[in-house]
Amino acid sequence: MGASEEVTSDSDEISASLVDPVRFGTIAERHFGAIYQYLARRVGRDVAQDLGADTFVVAFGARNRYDLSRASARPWLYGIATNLIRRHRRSELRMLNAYSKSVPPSHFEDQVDEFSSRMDHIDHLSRVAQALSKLDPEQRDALHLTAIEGLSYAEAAEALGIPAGTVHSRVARARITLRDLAGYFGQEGTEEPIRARES
Amino acid sequence: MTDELQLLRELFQHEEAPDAGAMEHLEARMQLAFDGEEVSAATSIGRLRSKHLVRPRLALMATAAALLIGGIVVSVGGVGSQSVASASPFRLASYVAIPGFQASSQTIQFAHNVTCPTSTDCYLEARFMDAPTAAAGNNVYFSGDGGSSWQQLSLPTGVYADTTLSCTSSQQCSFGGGQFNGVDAYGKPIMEPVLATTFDGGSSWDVAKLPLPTNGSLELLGNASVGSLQCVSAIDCDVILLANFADASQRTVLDNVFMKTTDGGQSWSSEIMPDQPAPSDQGAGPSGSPINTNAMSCPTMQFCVATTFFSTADGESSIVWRTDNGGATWSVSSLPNGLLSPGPISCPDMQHCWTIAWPASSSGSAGELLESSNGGASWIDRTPVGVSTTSWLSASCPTDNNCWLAGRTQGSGSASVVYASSNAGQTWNEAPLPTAVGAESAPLKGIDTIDCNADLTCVVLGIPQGVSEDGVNEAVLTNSAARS
Repeated sequence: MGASEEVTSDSDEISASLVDPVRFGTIAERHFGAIYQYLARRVGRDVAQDLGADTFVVAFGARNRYDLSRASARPWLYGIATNLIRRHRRSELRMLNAYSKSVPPSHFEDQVDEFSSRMDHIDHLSRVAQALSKLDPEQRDALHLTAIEGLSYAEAAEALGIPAGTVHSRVARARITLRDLAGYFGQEGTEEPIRARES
Repeated sequence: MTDELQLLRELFQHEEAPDAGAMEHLEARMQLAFDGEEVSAATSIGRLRSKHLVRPRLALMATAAALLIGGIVVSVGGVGSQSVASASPFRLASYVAIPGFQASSQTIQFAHNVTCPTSTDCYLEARFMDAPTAAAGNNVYFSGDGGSSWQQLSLPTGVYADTTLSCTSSQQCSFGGGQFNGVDAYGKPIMEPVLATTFDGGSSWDVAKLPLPTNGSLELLGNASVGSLQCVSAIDCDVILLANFADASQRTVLDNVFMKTTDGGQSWSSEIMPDQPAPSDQGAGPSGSPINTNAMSCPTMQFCVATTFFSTADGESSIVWRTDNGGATWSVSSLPNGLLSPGPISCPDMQHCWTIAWPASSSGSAGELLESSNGGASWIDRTPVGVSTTSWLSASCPTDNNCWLAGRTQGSGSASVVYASSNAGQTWNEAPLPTAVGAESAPLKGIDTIDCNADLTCVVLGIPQGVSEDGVNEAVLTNSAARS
């Protein structure tokens, strides 16, 4: 890819692909890694392989409907991927169940130094994984996109096709539900914002 | 204080870079999409490989395999020396019952493990997770008609099955699991490891507690679980427990512990398997957790061969353990060329063993079928020659000569495959699978487990393709004679 192409926006590439379809490959090149990772985290690598390709095939087929005023295709692609995940709920629950059974006895050194706290931490991770599986799917989508994938509320709203305020409320409800379902947040959790670029 | 977002991010912090298969799949799919517009995907997608491709990690493959167990159950009668047939030996027998799933989205279930001690009688484990209570475990089902219908068996109160089944007859079947025994100081359920055995086809169960494992001065963390189980008679069973231990510096290790009973679980011997990794500060794999999977095959109570796969911060490794004195002593060896094996392993007798192994590092690794003719001391490659690149996932060899191998072709358009050999792997014949499953006009997407008995009847667990994953499409296929 030449230097001049590096600065093109996604919308430029998508627009160009309407005439020269091969240009859509740039969109895949830019975003496939992130979309695949998002899918793999939620439904596992095997299903992610299919859905990752599906995401870009669907996007390619729908590129003539892409809102070219949006420079970045990232929210659009996350939205397509999220829609595809909904057809694989069982895979996602299976992943979460696995997470709940294989929580990491790692990364403790900076967080806890007491043995009891270590056990507590393992237990907390397990419970969060289980609790996540019980969230309303819409809340889980919003939480994943913002807290894990790092989309701003505005981007998540674009991805999910809902107002940013709705994303905010879904995330807020998801966090409350997580605390309740996980059942261990005896103390009030910190009210850390999802991302600094929250909008 | 650690809050839910911090925990959430820690849970999903692992990297999941696309591997060669994902790249190929994307390229193939995009090519099809581009075909309609007469352009080549190669120039636009091919460069993705260099950008994103990383070698697949066996740790993740093993986990993925574990996660993907479930879906369709198929069984196939003895292929034996049959040459490749044009018609599939598989047929639809039934859909796996998923009680409560459609009625309530609160409970999920999927097939996990199946074995048929006879050509008609089968036991099945299906995992469930109850959303309101967060209880998770396996239900156990019985079929007396070759998998055409399944009856959920009633398990003793508080007993949950792990992922192990070992059945020596229609009436006798055992599973490893845990028995709820209250909660610990942190509110976490205490699940004591147990061996549950039925002698009446699942009408009732005897539950034998396994002793809590010990490991020198190390401290047991949490609950131990049954990783492998093999019963060679109704009262003679071998178990490998997986147990977390911590040293005085709070470094942890997930160890394999061999246990044996010869009296139906009334008493047990217990032994830490030799040469396992030392406790460490952190591991690898999903969410950074260490991975340790094991498999075991014991044609007699004196002779066992077990293999284990570790993935820790120090890397990936495998050990092959062999005993010919009932676990009193073990010899330790490795697989050739640094191959790694999380199992399965299948030893029809004390000389012959088969296992699936994977290269430690290579893109698009396909796995190999290894055979040992000296009880696991050394191994040779018996992978079918001339078969397109395939992820071999399971092998079952119920006799010296008869062996089945199951897996999934790699790359785009991947499909499940089963091969059978009646001459100890010297030649292989493909056992065609249905191109449609019931109302679904799609073949199995992948097969994770194949289990064959001495009658040369095999049962396969696979994943449906092109169907909803909402649980209503799981099926049982069989080529055994239709039964009313």
